[in-house]
Amino acid sequence: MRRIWRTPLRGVAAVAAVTALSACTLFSYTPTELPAASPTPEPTTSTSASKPSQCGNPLASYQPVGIQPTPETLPQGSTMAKIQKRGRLIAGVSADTYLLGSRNPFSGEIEGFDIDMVKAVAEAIFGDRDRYQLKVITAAQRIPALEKGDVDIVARNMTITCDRWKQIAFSTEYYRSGQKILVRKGSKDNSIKDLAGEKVCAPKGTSSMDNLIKEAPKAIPVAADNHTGCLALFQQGKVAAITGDDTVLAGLAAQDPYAVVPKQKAFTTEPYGLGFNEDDVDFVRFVNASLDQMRADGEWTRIYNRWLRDALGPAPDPPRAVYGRT
Amino acid sequence: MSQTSHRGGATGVAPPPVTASPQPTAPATTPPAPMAGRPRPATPSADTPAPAVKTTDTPRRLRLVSLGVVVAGVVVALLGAMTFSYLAFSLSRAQADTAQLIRVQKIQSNLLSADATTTNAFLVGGLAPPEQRAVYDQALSSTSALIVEASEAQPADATALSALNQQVVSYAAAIEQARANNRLGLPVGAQYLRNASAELRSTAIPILDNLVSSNATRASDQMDPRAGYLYIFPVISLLALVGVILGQVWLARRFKRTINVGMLASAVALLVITVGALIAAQQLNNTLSSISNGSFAAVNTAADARIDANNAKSNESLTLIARGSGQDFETAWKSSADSVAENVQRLNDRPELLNQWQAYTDVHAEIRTLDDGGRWERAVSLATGAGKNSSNTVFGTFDSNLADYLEGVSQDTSSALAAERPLMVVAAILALLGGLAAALLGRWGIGARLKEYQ
Repeated sequence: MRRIWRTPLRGVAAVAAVTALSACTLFSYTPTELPAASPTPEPTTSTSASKPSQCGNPLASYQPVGIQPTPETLPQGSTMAKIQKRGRLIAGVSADTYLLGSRNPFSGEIEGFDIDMVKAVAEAIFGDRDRYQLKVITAAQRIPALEKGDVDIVARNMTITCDRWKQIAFSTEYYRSGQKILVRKGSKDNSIKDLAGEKVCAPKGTSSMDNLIKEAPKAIPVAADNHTGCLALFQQGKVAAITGDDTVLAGLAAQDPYAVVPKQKAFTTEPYGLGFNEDDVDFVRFVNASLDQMRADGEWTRIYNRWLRDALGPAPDPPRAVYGRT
Repeated sequence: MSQTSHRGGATGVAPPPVTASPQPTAPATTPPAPMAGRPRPATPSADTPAPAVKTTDTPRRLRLVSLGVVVAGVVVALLGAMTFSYLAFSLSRAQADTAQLIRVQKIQSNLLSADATTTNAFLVGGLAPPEQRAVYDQALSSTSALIVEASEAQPADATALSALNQQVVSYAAAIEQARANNRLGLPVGAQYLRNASAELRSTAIPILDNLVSSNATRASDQMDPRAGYLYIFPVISLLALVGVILGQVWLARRFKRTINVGMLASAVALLVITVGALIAAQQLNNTLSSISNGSFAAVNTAADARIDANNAKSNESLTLIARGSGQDFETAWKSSADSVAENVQRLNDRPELLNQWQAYTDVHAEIRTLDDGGRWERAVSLATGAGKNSSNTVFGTFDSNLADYLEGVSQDTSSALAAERPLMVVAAILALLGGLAAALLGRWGIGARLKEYQ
């Protein structure tokens, strides 16, 4: 670069001598600046743990009334009739919660325990298990999606809580999970209390995060968009442990031979319910009736065995339906 | 830090006048000044019967005039040589800066095209199609080569490029991790892909944006000599001419001979230099502004369009991968697509590019309609297929034509800049020789008068 300008200037040696000193600065550019370091995008630490509110028995849902209608006899003007008219059930699901709802990279299909619940509801409305459309949502989008009416139903390992009942409606409990921890193979930690001072990941906006802050106030909470995001952070060594429902953790551990869910007692009970818009009470009653039927005819156990038996052991009894909400 | 930026600031603001102006203005204006004052004391001295004064004073003044002409001529020679060499140098820098600009733009569109290809391949399933894998590998290895090349070409970019290189390495590593997991059918693979794409956009792309804007500014600064700067030399040369003419006038009054051949020839030489320099400056100015409004502007527009287009294509796949909750990616697609359309519209010599882009946005709209209507599988097959009307084919046509066009206008800019350079070198040599000739001729002309006193 510098040789280029020196050659033509050589003829005017006298002037070149004068300018030679300033030449270095005259003929070079200011270095290209690096962009200002943005505040570290990863491990966002969540701090707010909301106090659980009381609402009697959160598991109590709306009792089915009368005889369960068939696809041909759906009451006019009901939520189910509207869905049937549209031609498909729209469900908010997870696409990366292995075993519950995840995209199978080979087929491209989203599949799992939760997805089979959606299929059962589609069957009840249309008489066709495949009349559904899945919208992949994050945990934090579950309630807004229902409130805005983007989805008819949420089947995304969602815990029934009093707080959530204030915004949306739930079916009866369709699975009883509990929160546990996942750690690196060889780690001696086998309870949430052991994680003081460690970085622990949970998805933001979930009860897993709230419970983590409540149960292990000395642990450093790290939020990710979802549990798979936590697994990526875990594999990169950015967090030491992940906490979440045993079903979800089983799905994570199945993806990484160095991640284990040590033998431990779940420190919470997580009753899963299907989520609905709070105004769709007729739909909740309709789905509850379907769930009752699945508990009774062994369909629930078949779905459990298909997805969870290998990871979590033989099927327990299906959770009992609790009614009484008005 | 402040020192470097200060130096940089001084460089940016028309450097040659800063060093050149103090020198020429002083000597060029001084000779005429004493000369103008000379005739007055000389006239009364002619009336007074004191030949001693006349004989001793006139040779001294003659020698002063001679010195003035020589200084003026030498200053014109050196300043002319310097100015035109500097312009020739500026042109080669503009050419190098344009080449660097094109290099960093290419890095950016390569990276985004690699990302677009790999996200698209993810939609297909666990096993990425070998052709797409090859396209990704090619884009990434040419990126690495370009980073090294760019870093050698412009030391001022070295720090930014080394930071970029780190990001590219970690991007490639994350993509490999994503692939390995995806092959096993594990959902964490898609997570690594999303993280890598997001990281690429939040860290590597801002560095590239800085590189592109720095080099665009450098090139256009070199192509846009500040208004006065091209004309300083003709003005100095004109002042020297005026000085020589005043010397000639004094000689004509002082001696019987009206015309001093040497001084006349010196004045003619300076006149030719002044007029020639004015023409050259004007010509260069016109050419540079036609380059920067023509092919160079087209380089920037086309490169921006290509970068945004590949960004949009990548977001199309990410929208489908997110499956129903990809609104943010679709919003990003929209804003990139709007800016592509706007830029392509400005390339009015190639209207077919706009049609090809339009064809792609139509395919995209169809994909969105399918996906939003719940027919995700059909949307994916339209987005990933290799059929005549698939997104990949239609986009590929647009992208490769735009790349060809970009290559063409880059060539045009480079050769137009290169074409001006010999002219500047010749002008530098002519100014040097002409200035020296003016000095020698003037000295020779006055020397003839001085001889009369020996």
